[in-house]
Amino acid sequence: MFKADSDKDKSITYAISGPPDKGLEQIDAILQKRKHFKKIECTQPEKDLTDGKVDAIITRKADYVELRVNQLLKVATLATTINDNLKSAYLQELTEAFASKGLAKENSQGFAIVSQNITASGNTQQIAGSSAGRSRLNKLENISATLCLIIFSLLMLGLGAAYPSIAVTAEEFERNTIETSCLLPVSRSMIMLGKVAAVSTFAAVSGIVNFVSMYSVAALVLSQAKLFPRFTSDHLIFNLNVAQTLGLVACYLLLAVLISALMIFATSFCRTVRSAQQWTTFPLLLILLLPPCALFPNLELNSRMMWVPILNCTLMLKAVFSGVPFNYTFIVVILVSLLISFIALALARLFLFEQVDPGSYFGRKADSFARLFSKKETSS
Amino acid sequence: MKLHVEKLCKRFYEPARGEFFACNEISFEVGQGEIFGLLGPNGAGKTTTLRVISTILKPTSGSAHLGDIDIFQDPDAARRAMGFLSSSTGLYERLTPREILTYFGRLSGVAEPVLKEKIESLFLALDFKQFADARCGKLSQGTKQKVSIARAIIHDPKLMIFDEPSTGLDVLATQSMHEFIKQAKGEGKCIVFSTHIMSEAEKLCDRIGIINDGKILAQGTLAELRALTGETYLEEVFMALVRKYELAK
Repeated sequence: MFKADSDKDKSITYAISGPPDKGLEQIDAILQKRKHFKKIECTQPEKDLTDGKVDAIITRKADYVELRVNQLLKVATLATTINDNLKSAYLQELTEAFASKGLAKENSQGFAIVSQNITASGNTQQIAGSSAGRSRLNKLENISATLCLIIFSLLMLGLGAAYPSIAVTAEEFERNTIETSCLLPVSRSMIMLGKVAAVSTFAAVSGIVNFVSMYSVAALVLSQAKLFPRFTSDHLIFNLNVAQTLGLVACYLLLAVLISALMIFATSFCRTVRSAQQWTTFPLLLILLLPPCALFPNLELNSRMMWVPILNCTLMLKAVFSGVPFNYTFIVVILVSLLISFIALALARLFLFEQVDPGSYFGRKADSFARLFSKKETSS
Repeated sequence: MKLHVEKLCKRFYEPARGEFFACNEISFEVGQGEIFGLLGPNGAGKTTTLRVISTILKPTSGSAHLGDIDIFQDPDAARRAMGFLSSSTGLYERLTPREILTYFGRLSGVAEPVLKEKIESLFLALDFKQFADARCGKLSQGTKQKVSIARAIIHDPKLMIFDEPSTGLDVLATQSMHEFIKQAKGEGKCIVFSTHIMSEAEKLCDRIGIINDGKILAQGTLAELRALTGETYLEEVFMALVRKYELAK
């Protein structure tokens, strides 16, 4: 439905100027593989660039490769819409292609390879030739309507985990079905695993359904109405490869497991559904507050943020979405999230099953703790 | 398969009472095809004893063996061989009896073709086939109890533990329950049964253990208990034993 609209502005056209060169051929090969770059032949590259017939000209200079970009792209500091940010992202890829092949000329300010025509007379201004400029492009790239929707859908993921977690903990006590679970010929750890798997599935499905719903509504509004002239439906286009898509799904599932584990823990010491509903407020607050923080342009997954639970997963999701390659911070985030889930579930197991047994040391502690929130006696 | 319980203790803690033993050095044996009744007043420790044996609670000390299985060392194996039914055990109200039996049957490791047959035979045996596909939340107390019985025996356990199973049931449902227990006895099951209703114990149990204040005061056949106390009726036997214990304390 949106393809025709989106394809118009999606591609960046480029031309290669000058005699054949091995370095230029390599860059050309890289760009050919990207669907949003389109090579065109120019007889008068400088004139075509000025006239706007081509977006970028790549030229071999004596000891470096120069990239000249048409002013219509409005990259970097001139970028005002998400559409421009997408183009910034493509340009970023272009500069990285240069740098990866060692064709960039590095000076005291960073990579001096990108320049932009700002006037028809051919004056140029370096806009992304420094590492600061590259960093700015990175941050702008991170803000995308699709990413926003994914992160907002995490709120529904939290809500989707809340009620099933109450059903598998406090409601089991209220209806006294916990005894029947205890009588099954399976270990209590397996029972906990079953509970978290069930709650995580509900949570993930809620989040995904919510995302699809929001995405569809947003796309419909943007394509059918002219209410938001600065936004078009191509802001919602996914530019993700298979690895990125799988990475996103993995991040989403990791968040579902983590949030479910926290929810189960928060409700495990409650003996009535009513008190459990009150206690889910705390994990819900975390889920309401932390993931949207990932939308701040300056907030990235780094060696400090990777230790902040929930937010680190959301930043990892953002990083995967932005095409950041797999690195050690991802491993730390996964390990931290799984560790927190494990601790939350171990404590939940203690509260759930040891409280059935108030004669044991932990049971007694759990029982005393639970008495604070429920008047229901647990010892027979 | 024989149940052997040896010096079973369970200590509880409550802020008002401090530490106390809900069951204290409880020992008894139940043979194959035998019904052993734990008879005692409310709060005597019957339920705690049965919940410890059924592995819902961990014992403070003591041991219990079901045939070769050490119940507390290998609770998963023990749970495969036992069924526990309590009057307070809840059912998932949104599920139907058929769904509950399928769920518990699968988790208990009953093979799928056998499970279907078993469920149908239980519907017929316990006479609630007409409610097989109704939600449990809408069933009467008696039918819920029948579903609970079916749930407890879906995996054909060797040991059946009934904790005051007739509580809340009407006369007809109670009669039906008694018939079922007798039938299970006839099939060679090992049955432990707790009640505070004297006539029920007298009617069903082969041997009776009188329990009070967490201790078994005496155990044996009804004739042995009569001989021990010199009383005729079970109620009088029970009162005599309790009075003797209170005086000794």
